Amino acid sequence: MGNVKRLWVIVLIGAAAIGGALCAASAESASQMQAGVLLSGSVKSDTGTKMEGVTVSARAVGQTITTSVFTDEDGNYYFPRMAEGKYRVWAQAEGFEAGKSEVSLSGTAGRQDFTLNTIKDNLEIVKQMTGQEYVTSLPEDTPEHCKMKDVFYNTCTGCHEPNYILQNRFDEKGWEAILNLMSRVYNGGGEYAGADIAPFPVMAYYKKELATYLSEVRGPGPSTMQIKLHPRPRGEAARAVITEYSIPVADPDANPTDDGFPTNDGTFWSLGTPSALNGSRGLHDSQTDRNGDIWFTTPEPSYTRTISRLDTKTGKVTDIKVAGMNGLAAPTHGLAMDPNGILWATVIGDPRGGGGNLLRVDPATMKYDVIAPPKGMAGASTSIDVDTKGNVWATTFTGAFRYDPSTHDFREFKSPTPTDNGPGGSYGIAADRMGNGWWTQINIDRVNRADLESGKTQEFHEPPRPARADGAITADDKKLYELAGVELTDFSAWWSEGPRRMGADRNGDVIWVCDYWGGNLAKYDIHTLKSTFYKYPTPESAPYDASVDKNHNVWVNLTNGDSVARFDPKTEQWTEFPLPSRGIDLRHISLDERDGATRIVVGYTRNSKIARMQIRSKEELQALKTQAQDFSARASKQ
Amino acid sequence: MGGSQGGILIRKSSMFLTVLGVFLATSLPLRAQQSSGPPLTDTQKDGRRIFQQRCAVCHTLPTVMSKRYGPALYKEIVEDNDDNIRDVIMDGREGLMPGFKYGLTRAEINSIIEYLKTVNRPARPKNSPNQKEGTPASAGE
Repeated sequence: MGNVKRLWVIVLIGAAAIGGALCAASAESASQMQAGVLLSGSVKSDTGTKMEGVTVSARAVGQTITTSVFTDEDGNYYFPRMAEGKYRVWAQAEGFEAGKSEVSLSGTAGRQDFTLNTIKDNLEIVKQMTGQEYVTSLPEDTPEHCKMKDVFYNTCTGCHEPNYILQNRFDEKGWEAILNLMSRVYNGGGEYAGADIAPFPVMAYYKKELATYLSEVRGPGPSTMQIKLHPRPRGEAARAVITEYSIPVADPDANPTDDGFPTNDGTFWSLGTPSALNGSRGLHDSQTDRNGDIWFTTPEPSYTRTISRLDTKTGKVTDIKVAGMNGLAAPTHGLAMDPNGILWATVIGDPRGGGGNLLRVDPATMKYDVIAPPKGMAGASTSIDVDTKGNVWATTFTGAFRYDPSTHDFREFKSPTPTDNGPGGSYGIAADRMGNGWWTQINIDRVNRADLESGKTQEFHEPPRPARADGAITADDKKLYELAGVELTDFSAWWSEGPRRMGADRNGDVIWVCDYWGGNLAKYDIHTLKSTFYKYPTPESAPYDASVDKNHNVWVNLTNGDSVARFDPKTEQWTEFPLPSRGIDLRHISLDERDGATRIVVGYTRNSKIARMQIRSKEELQALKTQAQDFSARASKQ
Repeated sequence: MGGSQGGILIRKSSMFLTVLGVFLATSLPLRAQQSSGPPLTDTQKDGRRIFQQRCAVCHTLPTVMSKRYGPALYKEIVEDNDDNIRDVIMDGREGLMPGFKYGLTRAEINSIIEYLKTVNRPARPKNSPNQKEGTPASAGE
């Protein structure tokens, strides 16, 4: 049994900028009120065409909570009822300039119509695109283009959303300068290692070719990209209501901010994709507690933030700091809730700062314990899950362990094929319905299963994915990858599937694995151990993590798509739900099903927001539509 | 390419953990160059946003535990030096920095310069004590 240290909470209130959220009702809270003002309106283009699937967002002036809805097939939108007050309202669709307005809501209903102007310049349209759209638009017209598209995707997009990179336009020498820097950045950590380190071999080998390709697609001259925009949402996806909570950056006095928030938080698509640095990247996993508040982890170095609670009614953020090293907070990564409502997180980083431990938090009291594995056992790393009996499963650098809170016993399981690659030893984890643990090794395409009865681990090697550039890959290319070793977390070979994070069906007999590089959702039967792969329609959307709802539907966050998707195992159909911000870099997904409804919760790791999505029924939307029509009829008579 | 390259990859990751450990063991709170002057104008705010999106990754300490790739930029470097700074932003520096003349408008570049005129000189980074402000931290390849 490991050491158990009882410590008390240090509560740090989030940045002062959210103070205003304490005193005013938000769109979210208003949506739960019987009363409130119904805001509706229409969106059409400058040619007079009704526009379906336009994202319409509203935020009360001075507040940190944004509510977004989509226009229906008639180009009309209907917000949930909101509190009276002054709101900023805006409408966005790719290929169009954003419509912006300010609305004062009072009485029972308000209306705001938009006419969106078409953007004619492709150079302006691309600024709005998601990473998936950029990659899909990259040319594949020649074997050489296919090859360099693969090299770009496999080498650069494990850490960066493609739109962050490709929003730039540089000449060949400019892209070479970028590659000079990036070839000396630590994989997985994102730290510049200095000029003395040898460059990353794959990047150095392809530098000239890749710089040429990038300067053709995003350079001085006309681009060879064929822009392919994703269709706007319709039907069920357009009935979603998304509440975004802006989270103040952890150390607002350490970075330039916009009143405590990122200077570009992805709200307005035409501003391009924000940088994840300078404090914008902070939060990671998020989980709703039994009170409806959302907790999140912070893996980035911070002076204040180990784990935090977002009050979903007010937007207030309360930080808990667990002492790390030299004044820093201990960083956390994975987060899950047990059947008793207790939160469990993995503490990462240097063991002297608590790295490798488990963090147990009681949301009701905000008291926490730090629990260390026994000496000699590998510590916790990226991901965590809790089985139906309350046993905690966490990844380690060598495999996984299970911790039984009732007995304080740890049990270690090692991956049959070990890897020594820093943060990527094991990546995602899930505990199946029978209590066995599963985890991935993204870098070597392995999915592992711990068998509690035998104490042994069984591994599954996922089949290689086909390359775009099969015909253009030479013997030298293959030799390069073989010699360089491609087993790094955020870097892919042509053949990598990249099993990243995963989710278990607690009411079924399967676990679901997101194959990041292959664009697949893989199903593993926990009894037959048979695997089945389901390709996402746009594989470049990059499925990252999975969570399974009470109806066996699988919810997946699409990192490059700035969206989430639902896979129905019965029909084997996907439905994609776009989120209202750009460059949001989703790395985790969780569900809130406390009261029978299914709400999807994701953290925007790149620009410091947390989003909660709920889908309205047709009847709910029709009721709002009827009320809005009644209001219009009354208004026209007056 | 040789067999040693695979070793480099493993070493890079291991080094990351080592560096992380050393830094966390030795670091003290760093505070960034926040301007203490009057509120920023809209142009300066635009410049701040663009600088953070396109430039800060190299010209600031992007996290509290990072090395800086390029020189720190602040008002003493930029003031009365607009034309030189603009030229560097537009044309870049061979092997070290890309030119932004294809991806940013002149107005956007000017807004960056106006923002930089509000930035105080940062404290010398503790993890790179020999780095001279205003010179590249890296010689590139």
